[in-house]
Amino acid sequence: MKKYLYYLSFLILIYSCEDVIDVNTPTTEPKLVVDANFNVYNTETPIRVDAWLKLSLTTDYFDTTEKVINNAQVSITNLTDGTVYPFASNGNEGFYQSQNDDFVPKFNDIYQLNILYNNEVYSAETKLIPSVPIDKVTQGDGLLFGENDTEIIIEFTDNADRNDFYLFDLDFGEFLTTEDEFYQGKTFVFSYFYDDLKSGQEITVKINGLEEQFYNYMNLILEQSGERGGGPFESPPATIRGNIVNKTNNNNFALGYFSMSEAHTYTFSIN
Amino acid sequence: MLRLLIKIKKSLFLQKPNFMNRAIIWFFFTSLFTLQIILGQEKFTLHGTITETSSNETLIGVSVAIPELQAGVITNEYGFYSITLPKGLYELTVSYIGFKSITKRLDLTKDLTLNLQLEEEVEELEEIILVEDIERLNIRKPQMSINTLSSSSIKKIPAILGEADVLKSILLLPGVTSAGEGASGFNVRGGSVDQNLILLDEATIFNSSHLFGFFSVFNPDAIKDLKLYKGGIPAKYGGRISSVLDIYQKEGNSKKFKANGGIGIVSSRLLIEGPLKKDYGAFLLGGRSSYAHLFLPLFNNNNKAYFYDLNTKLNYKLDKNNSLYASGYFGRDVFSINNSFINIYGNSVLNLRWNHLYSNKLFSNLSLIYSDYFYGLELDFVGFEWNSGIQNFNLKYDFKHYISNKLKLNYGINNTYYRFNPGEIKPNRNDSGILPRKLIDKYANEFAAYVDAEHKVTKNLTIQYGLRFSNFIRLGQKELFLYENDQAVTFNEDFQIYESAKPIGIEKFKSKAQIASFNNLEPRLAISYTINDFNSIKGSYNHMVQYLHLLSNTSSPTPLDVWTPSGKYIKPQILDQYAVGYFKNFKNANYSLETEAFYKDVKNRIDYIDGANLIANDAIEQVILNGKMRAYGLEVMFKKNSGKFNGWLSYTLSKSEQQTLGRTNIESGINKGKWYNTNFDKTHDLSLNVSYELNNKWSFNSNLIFQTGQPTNYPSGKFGYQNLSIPIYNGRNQQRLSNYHRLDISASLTPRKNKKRKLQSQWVFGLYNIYNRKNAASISFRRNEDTSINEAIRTSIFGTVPSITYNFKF
Repeated sequence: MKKYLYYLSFLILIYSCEDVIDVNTPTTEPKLVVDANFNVYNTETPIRVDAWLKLSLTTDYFDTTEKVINNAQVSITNLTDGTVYPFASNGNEGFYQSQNDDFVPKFNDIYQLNILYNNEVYSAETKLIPSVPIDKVTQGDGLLFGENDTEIIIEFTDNADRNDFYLFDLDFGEFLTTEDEFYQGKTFVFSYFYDDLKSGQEITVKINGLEEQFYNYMNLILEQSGERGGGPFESPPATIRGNIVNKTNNNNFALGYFSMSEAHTYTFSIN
Repeated sequence: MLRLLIKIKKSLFLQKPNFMNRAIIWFFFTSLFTLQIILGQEKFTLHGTITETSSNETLIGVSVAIPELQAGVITNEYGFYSITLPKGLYELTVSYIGFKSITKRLDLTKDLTLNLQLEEEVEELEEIILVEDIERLNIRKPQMSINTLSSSSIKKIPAILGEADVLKSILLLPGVTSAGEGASGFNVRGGSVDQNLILLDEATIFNSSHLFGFFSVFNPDAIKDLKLYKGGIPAKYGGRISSVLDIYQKEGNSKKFKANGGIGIVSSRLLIEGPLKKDYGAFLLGGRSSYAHLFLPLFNNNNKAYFYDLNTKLNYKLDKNNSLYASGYFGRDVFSINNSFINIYGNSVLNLRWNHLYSNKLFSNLSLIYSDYFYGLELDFVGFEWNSGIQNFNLKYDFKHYISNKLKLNYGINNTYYRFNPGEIKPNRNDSGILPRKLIDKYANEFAAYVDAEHKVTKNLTIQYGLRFSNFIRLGQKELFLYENDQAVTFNEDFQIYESAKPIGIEKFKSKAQIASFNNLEPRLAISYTINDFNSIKGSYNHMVQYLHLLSNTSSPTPLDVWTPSGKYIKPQILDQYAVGYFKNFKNANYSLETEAFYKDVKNRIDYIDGANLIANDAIEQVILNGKMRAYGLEVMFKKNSGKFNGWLSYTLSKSEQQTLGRTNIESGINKGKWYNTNFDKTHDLSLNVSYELNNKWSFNSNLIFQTGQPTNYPSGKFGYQNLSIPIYNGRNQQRLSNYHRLDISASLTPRKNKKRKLQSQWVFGLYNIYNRKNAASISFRRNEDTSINEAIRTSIFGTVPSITYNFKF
């Protein structure tokens, strides 16, 4: 919500022109990147879990090759009941998958991720954060920025008993964060505008529940990845630190985040 | 009121003045005593008002000089002057740039009232006589770091889209920059935008820009005079620490009805003025508006982007000792996209003033001022309306006391009450899920009392010294969060990041309660030593306090940034500035050279933690740390003042940086606790403004600008996360955009037939950025959606922009 206020007013600067230029960027030592977000679809039977994570290394900004890590030792421990779930690399793409089919994160349990890479131990803790289902997705006929806009109207009902932080995955690599501060317990309806959608195209909208800290993290991620424009009103960029701690050498910190969130999807096709 | 005064008295004594303050107080009192001794001889006072012949418009800054005594005075903001001289026969010279000088024989044997009228110089080049006395006085005046521009010089400068612009003009002066094209406001000597006190007819203007900085909110037709104080700021001014931009609107023609205006490619303006009662009162009404689809040429007609403003002024002379003024300003920017995104913002100002002459030596002005800034946004596709703003009520009483021709005292009191609306959200339609919510309003009161002396100690030494006492009370608000150890920001050692602290409680206040209170003594000192009629050296020191902060963590401020008062968690910004300068006039004052060096140091400059969210934040203290700031530099201004060919070259070499250390050894601070460049740090800033009058039909003007690029950040790497490519940055403002430069030219055509008719017209043709330089407004880094390859994207705003404006008056 706040971010709406924030960045929309700057899309006004249409008079400007953009071009791609050559820039020499500085370089730094590679660091471990942990992409470990577990989506739990509690309303599906059987309960579905996206039980994978990805490890890679940071690269120079204009590097086109991805440096993935396939030789780390990875496990997740349920600290509440003591169960250890080993994860193993499933090929050469840097992905690790749970070796147990019964890896289904439960609310209120605390989970710890452990990674041994390059003789250093990385660790992070999280718990499963609830979400709410998407009530409805419909297509509208509004336009915002141009003739090729497609308006999608998303409706969901917030849970009145807690402070919620949501992440919408709107497909095509587009994300939106929102918190319920201004619609606590209400049915909230908002529009999102896509550019250049074709008739018959299918869109899957996903809602995730987030911890407040992870919500702040995702805001920074979206801001810095260029999802939110840029231009003369950028806020100062930061090294985005997640919740992964290097237990062996605190200075050699890892990037990325370990989180578990309840998720709901809604699939919809464009008229 | 009485209680307030007593309280202030108490706090004055409670506060331990530091050595500097003490020295100044001592100096101040001793000088007052010496003065009493001087006042022995039989003396008489000459006073009056200087106005323009055709309109009765008062003139600011007119020199009234007695060359044989090397004595003189300059008219104040209301055209008033007073000078006390020994009995005698004198030759009086009254002069003002652009006007015919008057020389008058004067037999001073009693107190005299002398109201004079000056006639505007007809634009025939042979007649331009440069008046030496003005320059001589400049050399002797202790004021330094001050630039003055008249409305006519502003109008000569070529501007983007042909619109003469106050802020764009002052950017050509040394020590003044802006973050870039499309950036609101301006930066003075490495200070931030919110550190400028902008006064329009003595009322504070909170946002000086229209359309994200492309235009300023000041209609050049309605402006009489502006003064920019960059340093050595007199004690009369306070509340902002970088500069004072003091703008006076015209009063209106009390002789006859007049109109003038202009039609341009982006906006049109019209100003009418005339007598309310001939020679006694006048009105002025000005309006300006841009056309509706200005910045949205590519879109359909459901979109709007425009601004407008209205200026009005009334004045009435009750008798020879009393005048009344009312002035107002109202301006708005309006953006609307398909009626689902509507954004309106702007300033309003209303101001009543009473000039009263207590005696021929004591001039007073009482002002009652209301000023506000409003920001409103409606997002229909999310279903809400939003508004925020600031309001203030200001009462001030200022005195100018012309004690002798050696000493002039300015003193007064000033009280401002503020109400801050950090934001209010409402559903904009019945089916919206948004809950109405009001962020907690904040209130504050700022009181100040000052005394300032302009003292000519010897023939060659002039000192201006003053002291301002300021008191700021953060008044009670409904609720205030409380934190453990009063720390609203905590440091997460594991992740090495700053985080918002969780409040441990809420304190409720009555509206008369004080949440926090601050008292400060602000000494000011400026010294001028004249080596001879053509050379002088000057030095100044000022200590200033700023209690309000504009919350902004973007590379340049935006219209929706909100102001917040100092209080329990945010401390006032405190500045010390030192400046020295050398001034020289040569070739009979045809040329002048001004050089100054400055150093300034600001305590409690607020800084923001990474990812700070400043909008709709009810607990702004949770994202703010107190840091510091410093700036230093060298300014040179070389001017050719007269002739067909004139102009100036200004160059600034400077550095502006800030630092926010960790509060303990464990904390990293911001940018690892190291100094870093502010967003508006520009190492080199050069501008050359040249005008050439070919004949009385054609004149030409050009600007050449060169600036070091604005600080920015390049990523030192990237990582993949959730199918996004995220750049990694180390530190803040480590790189720069490429250098900024451009050349603008303009030509004015004044048709010859003008002379014979009532309607005077003028055409102005302009070319902005003539060699089409693509100056970067920003460089952003993102992944190309189609190729999935990372790119650096340069955003540049203006290429070559031609313009044409038709101006008229009758």
